[in-house]
Amino acid sequence: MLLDFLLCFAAWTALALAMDRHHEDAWPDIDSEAPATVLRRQRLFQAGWILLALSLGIALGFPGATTAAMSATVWTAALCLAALAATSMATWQAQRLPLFGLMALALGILVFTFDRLGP
Amino acid sequence: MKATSPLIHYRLAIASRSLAAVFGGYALAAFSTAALSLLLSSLMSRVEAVMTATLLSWVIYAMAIAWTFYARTAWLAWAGVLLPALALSAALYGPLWLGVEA
Amino acid sequence: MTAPQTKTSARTTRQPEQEGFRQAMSWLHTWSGLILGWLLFAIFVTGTLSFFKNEFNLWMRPELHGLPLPDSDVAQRAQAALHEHAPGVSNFIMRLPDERTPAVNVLWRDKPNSRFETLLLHPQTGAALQARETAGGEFFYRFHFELRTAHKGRWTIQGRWVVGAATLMMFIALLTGVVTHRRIFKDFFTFRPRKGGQRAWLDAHNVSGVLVLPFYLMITFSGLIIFHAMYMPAGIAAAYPGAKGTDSQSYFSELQGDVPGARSARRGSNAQAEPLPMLDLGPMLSQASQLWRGGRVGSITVRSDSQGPLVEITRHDGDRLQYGPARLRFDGRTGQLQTQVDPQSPAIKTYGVLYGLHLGRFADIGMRWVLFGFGVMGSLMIASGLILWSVKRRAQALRKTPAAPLPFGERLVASFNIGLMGGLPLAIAAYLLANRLLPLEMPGRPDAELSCFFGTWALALLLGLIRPTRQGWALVLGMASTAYLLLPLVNALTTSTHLGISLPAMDWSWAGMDLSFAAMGLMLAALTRHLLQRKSQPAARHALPAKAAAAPGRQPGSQGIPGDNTAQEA
Repeated sequence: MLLDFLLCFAAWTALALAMDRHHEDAWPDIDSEAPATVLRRQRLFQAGWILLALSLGIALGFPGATTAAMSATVWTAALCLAALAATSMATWQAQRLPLFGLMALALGILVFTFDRLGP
Repeated sequence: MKATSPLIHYRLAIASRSLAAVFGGYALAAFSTAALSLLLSSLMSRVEAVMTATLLSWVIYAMAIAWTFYARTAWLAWAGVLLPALALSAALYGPLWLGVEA
Repeated sequence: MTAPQTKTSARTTRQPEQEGFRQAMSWLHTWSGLILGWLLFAIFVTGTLSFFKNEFNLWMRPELHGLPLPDSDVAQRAQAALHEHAPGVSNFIMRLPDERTPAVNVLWRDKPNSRFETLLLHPQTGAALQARETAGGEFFYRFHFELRTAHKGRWTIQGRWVVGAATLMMFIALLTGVVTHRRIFKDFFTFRPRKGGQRAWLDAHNVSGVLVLPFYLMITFSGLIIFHAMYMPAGIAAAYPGAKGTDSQSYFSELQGDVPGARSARRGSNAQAEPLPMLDLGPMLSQASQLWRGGRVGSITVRSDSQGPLVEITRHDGDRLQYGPARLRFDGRTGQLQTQVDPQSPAIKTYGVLYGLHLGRFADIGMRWVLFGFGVMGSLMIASGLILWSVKRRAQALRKTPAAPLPFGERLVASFNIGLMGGLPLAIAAYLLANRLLPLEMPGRPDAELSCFFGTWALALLLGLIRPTRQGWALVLGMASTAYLLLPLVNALTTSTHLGISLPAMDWSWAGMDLSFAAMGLMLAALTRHLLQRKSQPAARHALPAKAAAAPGRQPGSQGIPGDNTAQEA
């Protein structure tokens, strides 16, 4: 559940930051019309979806000690939890959203390497 | 038809659609389930056929309800659920009524 | 308010098809939600509590505190104790202890079709345990799916029908909600509580609805499927014609993986009423453990039919997603394995998985809390929807005639919101307090506890009718807060399962409950304080022109945005 949550949280964060409203909340000083910004938002959008797909793939491909069906169930629960967490952050701590998203991604990679890939 | 006040007309239309949704929709879903159960029985075991049909029945019910509130008039709402329901029941019970073994 | 057009006007002005469908579904969403909204709230809340029904069952029987882990021969010892307690027993279902239920729970009867009696046994000695009479967590569970209001309720079939209708409404409300939510992607993460009024409530409703949507869809659809035989029997009737109508017994047998007419530990007309002999359960249990490769035994069912005693060992329902756990059938006398029952065909498996997802038996403690949290979100979604309706209507009314008092219908909705929704947590706390405070030996104790529940709920409704305002909310929620905060205290004064004992022992089955009650009390207290700090709405009546001129969004509780749900813009 932890790995699913971390990856989904990173994904949701990216998707949120790809939207005008939350992008401006997180980076209030940035010029949202500039092509660089628009490109960045597009990249975030793509990254978000890729991360979501990746996290599902990992859940199904590396179910650990349970069945794929159980792993998919846990993933779905983590998906919803992460969405709630991302929304809370976007509402109350929008400026920390990018940082937390990155941290979640980094932690997720760590957990995957040492937990799922392990024995 | 006598001229009725717009408000009563509106409320009657809503009531009519609601009945079409709840009861007409149920009839459509039920006949669909029965028909589908019989149809699928030739492809899989009876219990599998019934369960598959019943799982799908709720989707059919939901679509029927959506139809009754989307249709342009209350009459169309009823038509959209009753006509398919009647057609299905004819297909299901017609043979029986005509004395042929289903 | 827009409505499906049956006259000329709006529909003939060329609205795009999509927009017409969306608006129609918006209307349907509002009304399907509103009509049974309060019932749906109660069903959702009691269902959410049911995820922890084992914990409630335990907490409400403090006499079961401090039980040790079961011995390996718990089943045999319990059987002996049962025979001693009830020598004429002819049929029993013995649930073995697990990490959430420390005692052995035996349902037994001596006559074929009488009600089962319950017997609680010590997991090591087998001694009968005396616990106070209470419905426990089973009340929430049974109210949830059949609206059971009394220990031996008589309207439970009707209750299931009503719950079925409510479930269908919920299903429709969910689907139409998705269709109606025009900015479902753009507003995915949007929650603006500081905007106040309609905008904040709509955001709350959208966010609580969309973010946990997979859970709601699953729980609602699976709810319809669990009682499919009752709600949509047409398929069974068509495919299982019988001599006298429908042969539903065959359908159910096949659904459970049984061959109709085979020996069954559950149903069948060949049940014998003669007392069972003592059986040697040990070898059968070890065979089960072997076949299931260490899987847990959930329960043991014993019955006699024309061929003698029959033992059915059922796997623990928490061992997998699919509900309807695997079963092993043994001949009672010889101990020989006769059948392995575990249907895995696609449709039955789908049914089993949906059922299992709904019950949540598969969940470990972490997942269980997550499911509980989702249930709370769902309850908040329903509540915010009902409150939004009130807030929106009031805003529209105030714009039209600023000085008018609340119309009857809207006053009623506001009262029901306070009484039926705000009052439910209060009623639950009253039920739990009653469990601690009512005399242990009183006759009809379970029903007395339930009377406290329903009486308190009715009181809350009365308060809501008298004060359908923010004051009313503050009053009811304030009372609830007090009740929850009192619970750990009352627990300490009346039992020895309180935090002073359970915390040092790290006995989370007990401490977790008291801590949760305290947390609930604190949250409700914070909410009550918040409600009392903000000035109530009716003042807006004569201040409306001034507010309209003031900076938008600055005032908490400022007027909302005109238009219906589909036209909401930022």
